[in-house]
Amino acid sequence: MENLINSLLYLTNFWPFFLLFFGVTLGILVGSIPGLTTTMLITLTLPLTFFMDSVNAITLLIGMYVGGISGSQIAAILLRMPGTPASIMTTFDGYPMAQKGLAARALGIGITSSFIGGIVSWIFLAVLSPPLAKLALTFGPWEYFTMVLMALVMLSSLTEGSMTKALMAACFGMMVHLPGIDPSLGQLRLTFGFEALESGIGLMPVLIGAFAINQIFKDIIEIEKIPKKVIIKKSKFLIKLDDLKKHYINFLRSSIIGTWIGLLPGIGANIAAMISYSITKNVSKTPEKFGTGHEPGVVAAETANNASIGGALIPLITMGIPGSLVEAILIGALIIHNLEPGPLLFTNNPEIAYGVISAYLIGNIIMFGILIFSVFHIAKLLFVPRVYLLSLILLFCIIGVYAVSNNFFDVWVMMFFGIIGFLMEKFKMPLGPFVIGFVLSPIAEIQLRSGLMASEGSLAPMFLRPFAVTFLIITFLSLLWPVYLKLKKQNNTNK
Amino acid sequence: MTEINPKFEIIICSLLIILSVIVIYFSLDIPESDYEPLGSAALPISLSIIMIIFSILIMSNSLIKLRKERGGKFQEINYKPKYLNAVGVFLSTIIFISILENKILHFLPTCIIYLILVCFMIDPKKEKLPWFISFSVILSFISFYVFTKFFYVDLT
Repeated sequence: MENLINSLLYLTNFWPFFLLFFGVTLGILVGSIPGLTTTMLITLTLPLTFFMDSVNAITLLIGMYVGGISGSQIAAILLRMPGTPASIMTTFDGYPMAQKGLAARALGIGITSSFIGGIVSWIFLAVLSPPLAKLALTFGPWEYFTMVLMALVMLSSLTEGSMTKALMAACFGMMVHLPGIDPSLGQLRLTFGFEALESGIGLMPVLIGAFAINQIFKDIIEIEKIPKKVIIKKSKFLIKLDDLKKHYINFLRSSIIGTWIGLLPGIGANIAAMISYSITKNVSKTPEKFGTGHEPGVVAAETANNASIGGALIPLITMGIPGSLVEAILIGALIIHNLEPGPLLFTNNPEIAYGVISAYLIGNIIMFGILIFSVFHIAKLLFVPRVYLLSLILLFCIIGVYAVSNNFFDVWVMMFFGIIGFLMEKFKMPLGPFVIGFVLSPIAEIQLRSGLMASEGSLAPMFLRPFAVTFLIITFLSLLWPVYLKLKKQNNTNK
Repeated sequence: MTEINPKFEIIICSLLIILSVIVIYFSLDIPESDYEPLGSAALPISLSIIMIIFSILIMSNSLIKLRKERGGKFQEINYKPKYLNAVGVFLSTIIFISILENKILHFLPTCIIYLILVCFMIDPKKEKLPWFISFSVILSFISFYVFTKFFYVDLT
């Protein structure tokens, strides 16, 4: 407790506070622009932190992380272009709300949800990190594999439209991730003789292509359909006590889901938002409203994606295990500063371990303040004539994707997946399961193959381990859910 | 809600089946592992088979729909779609990327011309041209400065 208080007090000094504030601001700005990602920002900042004090360096990076995840909701809500993968689910209800003239309301709900998610997960981070991390570490490959399966099937079953097409989209997403080096044996596969495919297809070009490029061209085609002005009623922006009462269960549930999912290595903010959204839709009395501009959808997605950061920081500071790409870069930052990530961090460098915890709390408070005061200026993006906005985003997508690897192959991949995304939407094949399938494909494959290697080819452990079997039951129920809904609807019609 | 043209569904499903067959064909070449039960080819082959099954399912539904609603109108739209404008922007983007990749011209002039073209193709109004030119010049310079100076991106 003393260490935590000292750490919090340290962050009230000018330089650490300034760096945290700067990091959060930059994170929000970069996160809000599709094509620029938090990962890219943190990666490019990493060499600069070499000249900083370790605590200040990690403070700056944590600020960027918090700001980036929260800032990505702005583009997701206003433009249906998630700034980062974390906000894919926010687009489902945030964008329809903006289309209905409730952009301020969606942003207000999103910002408050991000803040609450951040604070609740901070409590977990500060108080419950050791026991939770211990429990998550008992998970083996079968638990991870069944969890990925559960995530994919749940998302597909709860997506609007045909479940067959949603499952097809998930399989297609997984297929797209196959070219390159096989993650288990290290041998090349499905490169079709192209050298550029040897390093695989990156998430960034696929994501920006399928979501941003596709959206830009759709907007150009439908330029006459796009509303010229969106009414932003400031009076509905600030969340009242009644709203908190209305959504408190959702806030709490999504925070816990977000923290829990964040805690599990390899599964990041996007999956946390997705699972939270699916569960919220599942338990809702009005599931048909989800995807049409329903507030609980924004609450579930934004609370969970921010909460997942707190969860992901738990194995990072207690075990030195990265939860996602950003955490892996944060571990790199610790190594640059000659620090040993893992359990010894609390003993040998408590100022770093508690610095991470404190920076996360204060970063969330700063993020809330900045967004509450500046979001209307950022919301003016919608009033900028579409022609300028579309050209600007198109240029940023091209340069942004190129900037990540300094490689034009990724830019071509982005353009290609722009067409694929466009065709998929015309075919009414949802993009969510496609991207999630792409992200989860390597995790599913590695875990399944590790499990089979350990069990000498037997699938039996999958049905014998309690967590794995629970995930399988949920997967099975998710598959049956649309059938149940259809039968229920038919019965109601017959009556 | 607009219906999809079944012919379009059949074309997409056929393409997905072709893609799956190609994946299976190339996966068969992947050498098997001596000590790992699954091997590198298992996932590509399983996914391709699932894709083929789903594609056939959708195709058969589309064929039934096509027979039932022959000559029917499937797409209802209440706006004038600007397909040509989108194709123009897409082609300009392809040319822009090719010029940058092959270093034919410096980023700045290429970007200025590209942005003017894109703006004009999205909103083809001659009276707005001065605005488009000013916007393109300013945005190109800002992007060049920010990305090269702050993010060390090679935009030569």
